Amino acid sequence: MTSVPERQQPLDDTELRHLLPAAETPAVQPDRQRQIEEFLMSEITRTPEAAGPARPEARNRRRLLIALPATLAAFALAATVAVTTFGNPDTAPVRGDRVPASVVQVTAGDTAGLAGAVERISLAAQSTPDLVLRPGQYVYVESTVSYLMGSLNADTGAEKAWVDKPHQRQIWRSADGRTGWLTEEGKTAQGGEALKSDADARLRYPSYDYLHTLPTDPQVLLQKIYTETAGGGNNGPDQEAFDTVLAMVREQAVPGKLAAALYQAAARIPGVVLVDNATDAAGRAGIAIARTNTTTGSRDEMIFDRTSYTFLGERGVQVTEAFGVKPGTVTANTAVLKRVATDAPGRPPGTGKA
Amino acid sequence: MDFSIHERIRAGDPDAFRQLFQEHSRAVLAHAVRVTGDRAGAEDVMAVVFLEAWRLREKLRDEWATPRPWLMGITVNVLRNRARAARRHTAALSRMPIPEPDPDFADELVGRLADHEQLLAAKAALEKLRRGEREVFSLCVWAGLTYPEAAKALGIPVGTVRSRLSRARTRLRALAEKELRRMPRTLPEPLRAAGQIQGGRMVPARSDKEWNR
Repeated sequence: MTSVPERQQPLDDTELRHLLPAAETPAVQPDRQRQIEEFLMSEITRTPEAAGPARPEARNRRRLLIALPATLAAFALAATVAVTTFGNPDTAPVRGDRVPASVVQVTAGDTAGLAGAVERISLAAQSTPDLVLRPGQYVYVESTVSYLMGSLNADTGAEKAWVDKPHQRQIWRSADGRTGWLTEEGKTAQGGEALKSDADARLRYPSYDYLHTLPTDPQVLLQKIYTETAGGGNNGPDQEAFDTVLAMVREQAVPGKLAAALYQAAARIPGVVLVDNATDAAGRAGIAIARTNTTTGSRDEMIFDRTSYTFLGERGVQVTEAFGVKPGTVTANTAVLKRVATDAPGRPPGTGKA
Repeated sequence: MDFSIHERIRAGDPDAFRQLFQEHSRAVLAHAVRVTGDRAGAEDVMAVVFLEAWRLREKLRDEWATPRPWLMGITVNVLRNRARAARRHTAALSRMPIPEPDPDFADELVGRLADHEQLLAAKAALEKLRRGEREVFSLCVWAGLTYPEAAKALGIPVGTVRSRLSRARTRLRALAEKELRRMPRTLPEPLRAAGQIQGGRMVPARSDKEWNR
């Protein structure tokens, strides 16, 4: 089922936009926006019903399935769209960008070589020059990504996991993390979308500035991670801590000393193992620091080059069958291709004037 | 990824609701402005959309990384029947603050009128489509939703999104050809001289609360 019927191919969005362009909508005055925000906040907190309990039926099969891409996908600043559909084939993505998930031999990880490998990875991180932003510059990270999009309904008997075709993702982030730009094929509008965040940077959504404020002692850092991410999700404190490390190194410019401390901290999380053979989305093979998420049955791997020990990307591999996703299924795969400082959000470095 | 935002919204966490507003209110407002051609009225639409979102928060599901398709679905429903949606929140709307008079208004008047003309022209063209096509077109092409997201927002299969969009394209192509024969450009020349303005097209203050069109 790799060929996509003609009727499922996307229409030409450019022509559609040309036929009837969207009218410019003048920006709302920030004051007015805030006024309405405060009005709504006071309306919703008027009645005591404001803080009702979450409905238990919301925790259905879907939420667990979606947790598979959730562990790896990074969408730190604002609205991004991971197209994820389950069950009804009618709502499956039609863009012809789905491919069957690849299946690999699951090799068990172990802790035997972990300490030595982490030592070398940390040394490599410390000896790499830090990426430094000049005022007004952005952290630019370019990667190839592919995530699990769904598995066909088990009711039909067809259990097959689909991933989106490996595609390019580019993100620009300001030093304070409040503004940025994101382009991701098929996920954002053509040309990308502005990112905006009013939230303060934190461990899960670190900014360049914020990373420079963090302690670089592995034990202190690990303690901070546990303290601040406890109860933050449904995966248990150890997995939350591991996910947090991933979120911090994924699409940011982590100073070498901090990166070294983060890797050492990760290695101290219970359940973390060394995987001898992991391949990133660009086909580069390496070793991985990994942990199996027992909620989703997926092992999340942070892949490093075997000789230079630099960070390559991530992979998620299903290790125990869950919700129709077979063991060995690659549920996520990324490869970081470029990580530099740049001036203009939305314009890849090296195009136009630098 | 922060899927917990869904959970927190369902649980009635006011901070999560504030985040929802901050991240998506501009998209909701822009959509309402384009579909209605009425800037001031669109603020009311936006407010009702978020009041509805709060009321219906337990129906938010985890299928999507962002609540945007769900929120746009609510927006479409509110726009389909503004009177009914507003009636549910009459009391709240009566408490909604009136915008401060804008001191720069006179300076910006000409530019705004040009924008306004363009807005009305686009809205008029949109209204030549059937409702189903109109909703799909404005969501996919103007608001930038993917087909699966638009399908989710409208509660229809993706195939239907695609076929409606295809019909919209056919209709818009025909319209464009007709317009081209009639006059040199589809959109009106922006008004440049203040003297040409007849007044009355644009309502500077907030439009009436009764949700008249």
